[in-house]
Order: sequence, then C-alpha cells, then structure tokens
Amino acid sequence: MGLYMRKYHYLILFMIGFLVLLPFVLHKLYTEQEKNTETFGEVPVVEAEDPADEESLSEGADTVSGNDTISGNDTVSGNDTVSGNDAQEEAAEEPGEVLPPEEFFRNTLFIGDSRTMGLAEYADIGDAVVFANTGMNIYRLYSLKNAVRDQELYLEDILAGNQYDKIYLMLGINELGYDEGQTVKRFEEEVLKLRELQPDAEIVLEANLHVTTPRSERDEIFNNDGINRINEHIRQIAEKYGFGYIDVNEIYDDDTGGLNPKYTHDEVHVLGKYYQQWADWIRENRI
Amino acid sequence: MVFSSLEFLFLFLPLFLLVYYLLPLRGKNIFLFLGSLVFYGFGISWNVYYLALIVASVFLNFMAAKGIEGCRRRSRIKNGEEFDGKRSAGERVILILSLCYNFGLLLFFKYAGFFVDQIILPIGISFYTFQITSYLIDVYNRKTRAEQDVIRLGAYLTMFPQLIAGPIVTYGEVHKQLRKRKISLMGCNHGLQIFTLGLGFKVLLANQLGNLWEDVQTIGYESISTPLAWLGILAYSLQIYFDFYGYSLMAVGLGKLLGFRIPDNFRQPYMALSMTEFWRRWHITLGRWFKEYVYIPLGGNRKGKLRQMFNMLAVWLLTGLWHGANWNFIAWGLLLFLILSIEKAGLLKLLERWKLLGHLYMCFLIPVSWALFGITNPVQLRIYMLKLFPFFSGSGAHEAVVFRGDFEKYIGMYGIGLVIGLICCTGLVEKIFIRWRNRFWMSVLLLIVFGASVFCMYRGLNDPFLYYRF
Repeated sequence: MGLYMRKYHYLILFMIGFLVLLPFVLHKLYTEQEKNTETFGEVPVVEAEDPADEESLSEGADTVSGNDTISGNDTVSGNDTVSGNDAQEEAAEEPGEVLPPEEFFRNTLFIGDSRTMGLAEYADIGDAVVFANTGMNIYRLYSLKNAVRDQELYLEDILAGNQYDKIYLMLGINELGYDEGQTVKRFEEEVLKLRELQPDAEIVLEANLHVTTPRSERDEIFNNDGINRINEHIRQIAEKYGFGYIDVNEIYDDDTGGLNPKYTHDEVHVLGKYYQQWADWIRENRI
Repeated sequence: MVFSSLEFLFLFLPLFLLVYYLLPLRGKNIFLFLGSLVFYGFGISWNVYYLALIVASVFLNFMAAKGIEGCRRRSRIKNGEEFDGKRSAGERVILILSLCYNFGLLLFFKYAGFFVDQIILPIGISFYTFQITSYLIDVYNRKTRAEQDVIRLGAYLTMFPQLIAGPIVTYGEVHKQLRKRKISLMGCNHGLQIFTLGLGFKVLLANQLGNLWEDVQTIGYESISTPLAWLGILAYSLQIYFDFYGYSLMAVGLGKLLGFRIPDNFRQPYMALSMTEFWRRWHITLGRWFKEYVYIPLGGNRKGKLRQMFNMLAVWLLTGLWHGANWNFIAWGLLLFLILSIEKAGLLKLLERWKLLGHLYMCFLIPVSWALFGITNPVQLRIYMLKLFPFFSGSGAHEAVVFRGDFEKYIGMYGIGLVIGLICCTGLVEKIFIRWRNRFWMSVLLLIVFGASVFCMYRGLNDPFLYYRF
C-alpha cells in the first residue's frame, strides 16, 4: 500500500473523492428533472405552487395598463398614456410639461433587484437613491446590505435617514422559486412595514419586467406566467392598501407578451441603452 | 454531453471505463467505437441521421482507403514494376470522390444555414472530417497503410476524447496504439491529473470569466465605457483560451486513461512574441492540418514568394471559413493573413529581438483579433471597435448613456479571476505541475480543483462549451 500510495496518490485520492461525491451527484441528477432552473441570484428552490387559476393570470395580463390603480395622485387617472415619447398627446391633454429628472425624482427611493440596478446605472433618474442588488428579493429586503452612495447600508438605515416623497419598488422575479402564497404574504408584510417606516412617502409598486417568450418557454420557474401571477398579486396588494401600481412592461413587450428580443441580449435584462425609456415613461406619465 | 458535465463525469465515464478495462484488446476497440457513438448520440440529442452520418463516414472512408491501395497494387502488378512515385488514375479518382463526399457534407452543413433555416451543424463534423481526410490523403501518399479492420478505423475516428472538439489526431499517430496499447496505473494516474487540470481551466476559469463577457453583452456595447470594453475583450480572450485549452487537456488526459497518446493542442500561445509564433502554439493540430494538407501540397514556400503569399492566403481564408459560416470569420482570416505577411516581411525579426516589444504587440493584437472573431454582427463589431478606440469615433453625439462606474464595478467582481487567468497564461501552472506532479501535495491540490469544479457544475454555474458549434 505504501508503495502504491507513493506512486498513485492522485488515482487513489480521486477515487475516494469520486465515491464521496457520487451519491450527491446522482441524487441531483435523479431528482432534478426540471431543466433550466437557472437562478437570477441565489434562489433556494422551494416547490413552486401549482399553476394558479387561469383567470387571474389573463386578468393580470390585460388589466394592467391604463386603469386607475394609481392612487394618492390624481394626475394620471384612467387614460392609456402608453409608451413613450409622444409629448404632444401629453401636452394636448395637460398643459404642464414633463419635469426634468432632477426635479421629478427628487427625494425618491428606488428598491429592487438587478433590473432596478440597471435603471440606476443606465438611466438618468436625477439624484434618486437606489437600494438594489442582483438577486435581491422580498425575503432579504431588510437583511441585506447594499452599496448606496459608497456606503454599505441596510434598508432600514436608509429609511431612517430620510423621509422620502416617493418610493418605487420592483421585486418578485427572484421569488419565483419560493412558495407563491408565502411570497405574497411576505410581500404584503414588507410593504406595510415600508409604509410604517415612511408614512409620508407615496409608495409605488412596480410590476416585474417580463423575460422574452423563448426564454420563458425554456424555464419552468422563471417564466412569464410566473411573473404575471406575481404581478397580479402585487397589483391586488396595491389596490388593497392604496399604493400606486405601474407596469412598465408595456413599453418593452412584444405582441407575444414577453420582453421584446431586440431589447435584450440575455433575454432577462434590457440592454443598457433602453433603461432610459423606463425612466422617461415614469416621468411622462407622472407616476 | 461535454466533459465538464456531471452526466459525463459521474455516469458515462466511470461506467465506460469499468467495462473498457475488463475487455481484451479487440473488445476494447469495439467497445470504444460503440461507446463513442453513444457519447455522440447524447451530444446530438439522438438525431438518427447525424449518427448515421458519422457511421457512414467510417465505412465509406474505410472502403475508399482500401480501394486506393487496391488500385495501387493492381497497377503495379500490371506494369510489373516497383513503385515509381506515380499514382494510377484509379487511386486519384477514388481519392477525389471521397474527398468530395467528406468536404461536400462539411460544406453543406456549415453553409446550408445561410439558405435554409433550422439546419443544425452535426457536432464535431468539422473535426472528424479533417481527421478522416487526413487519413485518406496519408494513405494516398503512402504515408500510412490502409486500415484493414473497420472497427479499428471506427475507434480511431469516433474516439470520444477527441470526437467533438479535437485535437485533430492523425491516424498515423495512433495506429500502433489501436493494435497494441499499454494501460498502466501510472498512466491512469497521470491521465487523471491532466484531465483534472483541464477541467479546472474550463470550469473554474473559462466559465467564470465568460460571465464577464456575458455581462458586457447584457449591458450592450453602446453603453460600456472604453475601460470596460478592454476588460470585456480581455475576459473573452481568456475565456476562449481556457475553454479550448481546458477541453484539449481533458482530451489528452482521457486519452491516457484509454491508453492513447493524444497530441497537445496548445503551448502557452499568449506568451508568443508574434502572430506567427502564436499560431504555432494555438490549436496546434489544426495549424498542422492546414500546413500538411493545404500549404505544402500547394507548393509551400518552394515556388517563389508570390506563390507562397497565395498559399498563405488560401490557408488563412480556409482557416477562417473552417471556424464558421460568417463574413467575420473570413475577415478574421484575412486579418491574420495580413499580419503574418507583414511579420514575414521583416517585423518578425524585430519582435523576436525586442522581446518586450513582442509581448506588447501581442497584448494588443490578441484581444483585437478575438474581437473580430467573437462579434459576428458587423454593426455590433463597429460599435465595439469604436469603444476600444474611442479617438476614432469623433463626436459622441448619439452616444448612449454609459455608467461611469462600470469598470470599477466589474473589476471588483472579476478582478481576481482575471489576475489568476493571466498568471495561468504564462505556463507557470504547467511548470509547477510537471515538476511536482508526483508529490502528495500536488495530488491534494488537484483534488481540491476537482472538488471545486464539481461544486460549480453542481450549482449549475456551468456554461455550454464554446467550441461546441464548430
């Protein structure tokens, strides 16, 4: 044995290592039939709840745009000021001009995941404060530190440090691997906590951005059905408590109801140059 | 199925080896042939036509080579003379027909995509076509005898370690081992070590650095800063190297486990002082193929300077085309031709004398030439080039928003990986490995690399093999 050990260490060590790893790997290969369970961050995959009722799903898809879910702010009510840049329409209807980013986003806080991070990095949102990170989700909202203006801070520190006029929150896609009911419950709790800590802020919940339809079809967890379901829950929470609710998907979607492939490389995030449309859309619609 | 997948490492390979080692030699060859077809089957999601294609390639070329030898024997008997260097018409016809068949299929699958949607390149066809044609030409040139056993030829052509991404092994290199090979514990030990090293390069370096390149694409080239553009193309350069080098090392290691000597494909190409030298160190077996079967038959450098230039042009255009059916690969081949010609005209001597200059020159050329290789869309390529060289872009009037902190952000995320990657380009790792590979601590280190790689694969941080589409 001694002689063999001297000559064939690696062979022997490899065998041992192999045998130790084998059961884990086989277990994974056996249990994980679902392909493409890619994650958007760290997502402990818990069983996703079964296909929720079709109704709420389709409802979610088309009630979203242009109804009066926006509360506490009566400028927008009930018209469909859809995508982008036609300032004429806007102007015709209301004489006031679109405020520049520095003014519009003054004293504003954005909370979100990688998509909101992209917004912060590639769009002009004035001096808005952004608390976002890749993989951020509702479960970790208060337990993760984020770099905010060169400081590593918890959300609570940020909320305690300033009274904001407006808070935008887009979360939900990273939660898709979790139990849906649990996520919705937690979402509600955390948003209410947000209101408690920032009683004077206008809270706007944002629908999560879709992924492209091909991407959606390849993925059993992170797909547009799941996103639409969670968005519908978010919309209901907004309605229930009088928060604002906006769905920026209308400017990025194609007619299949997924993120338009020409706006994206990875089928999940819009390209840097398209984030500005999102910020402009918010300003132009005054939400 | 790629080597860096859990299915391969924990199911296919151990089961294959278990049976393989128990069989006698003839059985080993049969099992290697069949096992490799199974391996291939997984790679092409059991597309029966593609499987038939490779089997047909084995049988048709087996017959063709035998036919060439048969014609030769007959003409010699007829003429009643010793071999005089001339080939009979029959030999030539068979060779030409079979080359047409082999290259015709390759061309069809590579370029049909231009006209018809949804034709997927059968994996590995670029590689096995080159192998089998090298065999035919060698038989024709009497460099090697025609194989008399179709199983052996099948085992040679489909041998799974090199089936889908090379190295491009010539028949002459392995024909002795197909008849007699020694499998020793020592060889297996060493083979596993090399395999692990390759796996580490692929999974721990190439895949991680590939994420940076992926991030750059996710942002979009319009919206990156110049420093990030350089960082991105550096990451891509390292990714493409460790991807392919890692895969080639794994092939060599697997070859050793099976008792074959598979040739090295890379020799620290990024340490080259010139493009000329680079291509002697990068994808060595491909360069060798083009030299052996295109450049030299065309006359090489023996027919005057002008003819030599033409021969080089032919080689580089074909090299470009081989890598893919896209204009950018042709442009890339032309660029390399241009650079190599300039080097031949005198720059080479300068670069070799002033080593620092040579390294600086390559530090610039390697990433730039890979940009041309990696970005297939001309509009996107132009944008990227303007990002790399912003002083050509003139007024940046229509420029998209650039996140000022992007370089710091990504260097923070990938800095350590990039530094490790750069160190691994120098050959230091290989030197340490060769020097101390029999030490216990080296084995422990390699085991850690193996464990970490498996962990990454387990977590699903794996990426599809870059060269898979070629």
